[in-house]
Amino acid sequence: MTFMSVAHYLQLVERYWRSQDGAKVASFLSLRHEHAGYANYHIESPEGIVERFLTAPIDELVILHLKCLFAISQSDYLSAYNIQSNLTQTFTKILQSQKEENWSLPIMYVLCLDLRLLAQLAENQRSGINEKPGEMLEKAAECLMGCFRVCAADNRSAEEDTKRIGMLALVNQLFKVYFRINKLHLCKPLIRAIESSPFKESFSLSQQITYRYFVGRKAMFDSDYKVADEYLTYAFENCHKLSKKNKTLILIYLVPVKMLLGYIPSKEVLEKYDVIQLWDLVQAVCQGNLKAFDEIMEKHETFFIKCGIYLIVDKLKIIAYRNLFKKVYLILNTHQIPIEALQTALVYLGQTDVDLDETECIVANLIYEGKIKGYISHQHRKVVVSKQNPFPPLTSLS
Amino acid sequence: MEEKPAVSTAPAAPAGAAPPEPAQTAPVQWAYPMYNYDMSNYYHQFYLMNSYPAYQSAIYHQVQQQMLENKPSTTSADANKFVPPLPPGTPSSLPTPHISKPPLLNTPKQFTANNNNPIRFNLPPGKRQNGNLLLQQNNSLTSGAAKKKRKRNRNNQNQNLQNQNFFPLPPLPPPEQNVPKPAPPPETMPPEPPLPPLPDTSKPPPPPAEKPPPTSNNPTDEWPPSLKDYVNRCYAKCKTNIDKNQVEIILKGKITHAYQMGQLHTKDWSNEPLPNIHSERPTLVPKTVPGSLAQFQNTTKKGLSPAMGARLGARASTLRGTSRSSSRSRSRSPARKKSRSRSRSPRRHRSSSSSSSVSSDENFKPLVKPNNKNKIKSKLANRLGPTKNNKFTNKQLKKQKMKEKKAHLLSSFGSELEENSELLLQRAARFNNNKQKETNGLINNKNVFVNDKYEDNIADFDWTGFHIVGTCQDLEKSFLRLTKAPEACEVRPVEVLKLSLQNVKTRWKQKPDYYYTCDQLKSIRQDLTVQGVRNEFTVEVYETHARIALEKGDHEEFNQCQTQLKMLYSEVGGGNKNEFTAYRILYYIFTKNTLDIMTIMKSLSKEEKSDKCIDFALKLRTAWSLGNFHRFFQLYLQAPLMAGFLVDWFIERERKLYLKCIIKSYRQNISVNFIQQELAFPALEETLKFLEPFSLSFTDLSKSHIDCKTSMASLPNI
Repeated sequence: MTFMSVAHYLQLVERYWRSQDGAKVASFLSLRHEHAGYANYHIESPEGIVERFLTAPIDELVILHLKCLFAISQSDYLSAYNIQSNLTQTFTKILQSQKEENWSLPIMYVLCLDLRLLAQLAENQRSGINEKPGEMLEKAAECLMGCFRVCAADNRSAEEDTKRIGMLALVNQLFKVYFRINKLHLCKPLIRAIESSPFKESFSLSQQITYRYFVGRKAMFDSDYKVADEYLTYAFENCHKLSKKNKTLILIYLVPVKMLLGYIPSKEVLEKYDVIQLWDLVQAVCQGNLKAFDEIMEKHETFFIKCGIYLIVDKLKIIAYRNLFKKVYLILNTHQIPIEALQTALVYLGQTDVDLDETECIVANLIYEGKIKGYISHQHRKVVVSKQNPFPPLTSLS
Repeated sequence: MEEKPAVSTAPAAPAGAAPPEPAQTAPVQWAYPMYNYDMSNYYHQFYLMNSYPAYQSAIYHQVQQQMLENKPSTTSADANKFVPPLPPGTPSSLPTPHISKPPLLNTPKQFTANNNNPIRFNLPPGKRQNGNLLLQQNNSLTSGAAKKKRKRNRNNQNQNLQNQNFFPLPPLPPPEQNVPKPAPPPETMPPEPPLPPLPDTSKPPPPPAEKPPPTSNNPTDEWPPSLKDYVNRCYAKCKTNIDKNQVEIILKGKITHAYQMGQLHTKDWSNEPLPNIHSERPTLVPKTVPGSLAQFQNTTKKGLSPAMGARLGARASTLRGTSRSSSRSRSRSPARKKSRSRSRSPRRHRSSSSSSSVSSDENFKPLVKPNNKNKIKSKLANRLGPTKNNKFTNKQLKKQKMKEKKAHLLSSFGSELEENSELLLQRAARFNNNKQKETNGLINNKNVFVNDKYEDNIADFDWTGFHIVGTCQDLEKSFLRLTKAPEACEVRPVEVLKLSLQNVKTRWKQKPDYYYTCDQLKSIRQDLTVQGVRNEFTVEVYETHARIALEKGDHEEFNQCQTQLKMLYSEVGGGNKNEFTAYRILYYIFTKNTLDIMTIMKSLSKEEKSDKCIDFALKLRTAWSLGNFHRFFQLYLQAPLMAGFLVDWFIERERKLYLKCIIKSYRQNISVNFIQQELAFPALEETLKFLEPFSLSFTDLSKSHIDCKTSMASLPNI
């Protein structure tokens, strides 16, 4: 079964290259395009046939591309990666030499995406032997940075054909690499480059969503919850409704951030986007059920840590304390709540090692943060809460 | 700069024609002030690299100017002579032609980049600086054709200035003669070949510069057919302009050499190996440049000086009877000056006689002359020599020298602006040739192409795996940041380092002097790094230093050590890994780096989490992030191992936070005893001491209770 003879394919590539149809050429250089799967494209030394149809500079690209397809067909991802990396670098040079035009940007997107995916495959393939995890991805990132520099440096071209419009796609690829290899500190200069770009609003929506997703996540890791909320909310609201998987990913971060800021997601949303696991957490926090909370933390620890939301979820415990104390207050129906009562509640919910002083301290911290209005009388071991609105809604705090 | 001006200018001048010695010494001194070279050999090379093109183009400009201005005078004749040669040859090597080579756009970048990195690291001591300097200059000036033009204009101006300077003074002739003179170098350079075959000399070099086929009334006509064939074959190999340039240079070198050796017609050209060309070894590309540079260093070391010495010596005996051993120190002396100038004059005569051929030569390859060294010198000699003879004052000379230097730089960059990478290659190739010549001069070695092979060998050498092994036996050595590659004699081998560490430890126990200890440990660490030692001992050194830094609150050193330890543990393992992982978590709490805490947590296994230290660190982190101060301070009191020291780094910060929290949330008042207990102070006095600077209000004079409400006003003080 064949999709198209290689000769035909080469002719088409040649034609599209000459007519500067970046998208078409890109698809013909993609490792995920239909042609990549057919055996007649898996040529070990394609130089001969390619050079019969193509001239420089495109010939080198196609040769490397076909070689890469061959390596993949042999499941040799390491050499496939090396070839793709070579291909990307070759293309970077071509890109750089194309002054005042940016029609070839789609090719760059495809090559860079493939490069990153191959780097991941290569990483896995070799992870058994190597001692340095992330090395392939780091190399890929270097390669991407090469492209990025070419794009970022193109500040002479007119707005309609500036390569700088390609920056965001590269930044997103780089984010993906950096997040995977845990080198988030490398994101900072990229973020700065994008935030200061005059094309900040003209990048394609899909790229902007990806970008905000990553920047939002990074802000969350840096405990900058306001910014995280802003970016992740944008990403969630603008993400296409059919991209369910992406919405799910966004929610994993958005839900904890929102909860910390006092917004509780509805069960429907969590169900719709397949993050119903978070519902338990939501329930535990809302009810102030510290026992359930601890259980969830233990049960999903690996998942939370893997996603990087462990620390923020951990912080939700403060909200849970507040909700628990509010319940005690409502039950006792008095403005002077004995510390013992609170401690009893805590012990009941599994916080067995908490003594009176620690309970006091927890309350003190809640008062300090404005989550409870009132004061502690240490002499009387009582919390005296305000008569008006002793537990102000969290959303009112900023 | 502090060099004696007279000398320094002079040296450059005498060169080619003149006695051998000055030739060698001259560049040295001249270049000295410019680049601060400390090794004459090295910078001899740099001198070549740098100044050569400068002179070339400078002269070229001069000629052009003169032609433009239609100045009559002696020059015009020369100028006229120049013009003709141009046509037969090709434009390629002239500054202008370079502009026509932009297609190479991509490669240049690659090369500069390559050059930078490896060179910086690979260059052996001393040389490093020079290398960088050179490259920086190149880099900084490489941008844009516009700049180039500007530069060139400036060059012209400079040239004018220079000329003016010259003219008022007695030695009017020199500048003009410069123009014609360029030619002589080829002949001048080798001591023997001199006059007879004059026409030939100038001719052989130019042809290779151009396309192989060109014939007409070219010098090529005089070549044996086998040589022509050889040249054609060489060019046939070329794929890119870089290749061509390289081949051109190599050919020039070979042919000139053959000519000089009188082998032009006798040599078996058909069996001559073809030169290595750039595009034939794509895999080597990144390494090539450093390789060749390295080689060039070698050249300086072994090849050049002895060879030069021999060559010079031979000549010296005829001319002056000075021995080659007289080197730069001597060359500075006035006596030397005189001798040089003396020897120079005859040279000049000869060169002027051959002016026509010279000029053609000039036109052919201003930038890439294999014999450049001699040429420059001869030119300089021509220009400066007479001046000096005519009693220039030191000051004047100095000024002139400066100007010239500037002119060099400017003009050289002006012409190089566009094709940095190419030029670098060319230069590299040129050095090959020089070396060839020199070695040949010395041993009369027939294997002219040794260097080509040599270059490749070097290029294959993996510098990254190169570590020295120390020989120093000192037990104590204080830390000094390396500014150059280390010398083996200054580095202690591992056995000695082990004793050193023991010594440091004992002394630390006897008398904890942190300054001394830190210094010693740093130098041990440095010696280990330099020798590439990464094993259990390295771990021990870093652990020791980390612990001591921890105890003494040296955040910086601790962080350096723990970063290294993190890598070392993953490479060689170590029994204290968990302990230091715990410290790392605590350190990140100290720096409030939630991002990295998260990263660590991702990497922790179940077993690691149950480790006493790590468990402590994680618990502390939880308490910290939940604002559970009470628990935080309770934990602090039970810190295992040295964790307490680390917590000490931020305990003050947390105490203040908790104090704020307490004052804000407790009413009416709170006892200082409670505070002492909650903030984990060991005694009341310390609590009071801690509270003192915040100017809180107390309920009584004995300060037993804090009045929280009134103290609210003092919150910002905390």
